[in-house]
Amino acid sequence: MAARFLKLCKLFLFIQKSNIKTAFLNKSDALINVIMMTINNLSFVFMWWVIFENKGSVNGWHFEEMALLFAVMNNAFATFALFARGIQLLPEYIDNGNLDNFLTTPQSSLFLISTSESTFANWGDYITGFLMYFLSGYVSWKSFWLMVLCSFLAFVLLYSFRLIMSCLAFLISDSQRLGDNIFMAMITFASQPASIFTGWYKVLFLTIIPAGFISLYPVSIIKDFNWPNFIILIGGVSAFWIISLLFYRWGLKHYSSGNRFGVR
Amino acid sequence: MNKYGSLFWISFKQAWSKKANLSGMLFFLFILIFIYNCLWEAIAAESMEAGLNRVFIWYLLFAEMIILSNPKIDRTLFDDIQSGTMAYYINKPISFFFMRYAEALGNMSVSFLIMGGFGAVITLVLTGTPPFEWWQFPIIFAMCFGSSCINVLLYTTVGLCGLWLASIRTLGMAVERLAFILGGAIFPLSIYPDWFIDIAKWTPFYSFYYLTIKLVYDFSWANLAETFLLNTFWVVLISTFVVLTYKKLIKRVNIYGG
Repeated sequence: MAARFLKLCKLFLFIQKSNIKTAFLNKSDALINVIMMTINNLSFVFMWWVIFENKGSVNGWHFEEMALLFAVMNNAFATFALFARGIQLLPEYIDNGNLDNFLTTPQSSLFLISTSESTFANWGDYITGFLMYFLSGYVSWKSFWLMVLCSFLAFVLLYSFRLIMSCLAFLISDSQRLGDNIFMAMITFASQPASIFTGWYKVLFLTIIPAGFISLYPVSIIKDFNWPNFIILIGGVSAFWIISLLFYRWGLKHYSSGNRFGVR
Repeated sequence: MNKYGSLFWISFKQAWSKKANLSGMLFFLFILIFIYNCLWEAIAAESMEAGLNRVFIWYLLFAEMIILSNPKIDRTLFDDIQSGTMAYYINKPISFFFMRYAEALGNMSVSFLIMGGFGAVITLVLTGTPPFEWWQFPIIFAMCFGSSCINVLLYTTVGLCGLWLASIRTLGMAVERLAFILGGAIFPLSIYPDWFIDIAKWTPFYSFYYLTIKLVYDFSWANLAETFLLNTFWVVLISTFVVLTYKKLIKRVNIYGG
């Protein structure tokens, strides 16, 4: 088990090294893309800054809380886009039969699919994420490590949700954009002040579209750590992770080959 | 003209048949309207400004109709240029550019119309009466449809930049983000500081997003005329860029091949 894990880690590092090398074939293009991504993100931050400047607070949330949310969200999305974006292409692989290539390899098919795509420009999200953390006013060693941990958990949740959406392709053909749209809806949900959702909306916010595990709990944990919230966060993320793996397994059982010849 | 009309209809019917895509788009629109309704309701409750969500959610609906209906023509054109596929089309008795543009318009029209119908019902249920008179609705709808056509034209310029760039993904994203900010596509420009509005006025996003969509809550014949004239000005400017770039592209394909 440990040997297999180490092997996967080695392969992961090798893939990342190749991705960086490929991106740096055209250094200026790669750097411009990273800078543009950072500017993109900061323009969104500016939009929210204007709202909080005009209105003061939104149901108890101030710009400082929003900055923490941006920190977690951007770091989580950067991790997803750099190291696991391939999962977004799963519907395409299923539709055109490329999935067979992944299934015939001795490595974990899910691992290979996830790492099959990476967008170098999303390093800009990390820049924005850490910048927003330092601007939030909640800077300390403890909050820093909590932010890193919460960002990782948010990434696991994003990945699990996207995997469930991608698995729809086992049922519906040509569902790439359907999955993309629902995933975008989830990201939009998670990028709002969590305080605007109350009552039944909050239940929806934590179950069907689990954006609350990216915005509500991480922000409250980083601000003021408490075990009950932390356990809820870990429990919610683990539940979605397990559900997504079950979905993938179920999908594979129902998958009939695309009849396309090819070996990786 | 007939052949472009046929391309428009083929693309229209193809987009119409993709029910899964359309449902995903409508779901996303619903979530957006729902979230921002919650947000504006919370803001209105705190700042004691009743009816704030009624104005801004209708505004958001039209803005999203323009943005979400964009069929990503930039990526199609970029792929055609990078893969050399366009070389197969340019010797046909049909303009490659107008072929792609007509297809994109067909695709966009389906999304625009469906979102218009679905979004109007949802917004009406959530907010009650709209901030405009019902007789103004067809005019606002037509103006926004025009803006959507200009938006598609703008994205063709992004796709044509594939002539010089190795990737246009980030450029496309930057244009989208500029539309959000400088065009006031999520929050109207009226809430931004004056210095920012002064900058936005120099960009095309100001007229074909903000001014057009603003008709939702500030309709007058003078505003309509101003929007129409400014939009026409930007169409001329963008078209000039498209014509010059396209000529360069054709020249390069003729010399070097696809």
